[in-house]
Amino acid sequence: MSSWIAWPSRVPPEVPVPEYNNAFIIAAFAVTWLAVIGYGLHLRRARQAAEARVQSARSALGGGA
Amino acid sequence: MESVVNRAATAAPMASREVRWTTVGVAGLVLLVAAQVYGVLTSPPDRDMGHLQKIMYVHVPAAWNAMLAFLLVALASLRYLWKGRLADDLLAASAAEVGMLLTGLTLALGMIWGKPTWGIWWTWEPRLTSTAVLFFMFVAYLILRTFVDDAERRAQWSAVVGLLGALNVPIVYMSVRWWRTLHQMQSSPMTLDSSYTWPLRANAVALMLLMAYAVAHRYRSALMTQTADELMDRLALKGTPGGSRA
Repeated sequence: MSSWIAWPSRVPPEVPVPEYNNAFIIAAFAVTWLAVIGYGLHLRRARQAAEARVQSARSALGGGA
Repeated sequence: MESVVNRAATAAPMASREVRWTTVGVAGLVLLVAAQVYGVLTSPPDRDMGHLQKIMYVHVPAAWNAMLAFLLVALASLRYLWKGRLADDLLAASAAEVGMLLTGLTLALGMIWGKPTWGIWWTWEPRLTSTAVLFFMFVAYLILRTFVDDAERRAQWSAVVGLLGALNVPIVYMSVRWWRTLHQMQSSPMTLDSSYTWPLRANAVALMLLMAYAVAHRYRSALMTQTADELMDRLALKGTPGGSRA
């Protein structure tokens, strides 16, 4: 295999396609979804913490909700 | 410096904005699933890389959107230095967090792509090195923010560091042209086979929608936290002799 990432292009039908790299493709998509879902959960936790902080500040000021 | 409490109080229908941004997030998520399925199922294998080419659909959009996020950091930081509005600092910090995540993802995906194509996980070539520098600059930016308690000073220092970090973006982008080493040059519709162009565009747009949603969500949370801090400051001033002037 070349040490250079070639420009993607259509493979001619007679050329066999290497099959040994499926694990890397699955890993790439898995890492992407892990990042998307993980950061989504982080955003949700950050929002809950911010809401709780505003609520407690308003309560401390006597303004209630 | 404009109070975030006042801004939050006058900011009109927040609930409808939330609904709008949630719609953007859901649309991004649905499009991301559709674009990935479309790309994986319809793209023919590459002549040299075979199906490994499909990593392009996650690696390249992550890199493009990281650059967009850092552009937003630069614009918001400049606006903060110009107008002194704390909300701009919070927007820059929100975009920096999302940009850092996307840069980390770009590096991880690049390593996963590099191992089977180059035979190595990592090498200190210009594109990889400049991207790593960009990543660590924004890690430092976010760490810096946790060390400074005074909101105004934190915003000023962050704006300067954010601008310096964003200056690295054109270096990262041009590194493959200035120093032609291992990493390929930028892809464009002129250099890419048409069967790869649309899945790549669809994945980039999907991730851009998710990036916009994440920045907006993080920004709103940061505004709420800042509002709470300002309310607590008012409370503290009320409790001190002569504090009623606040």
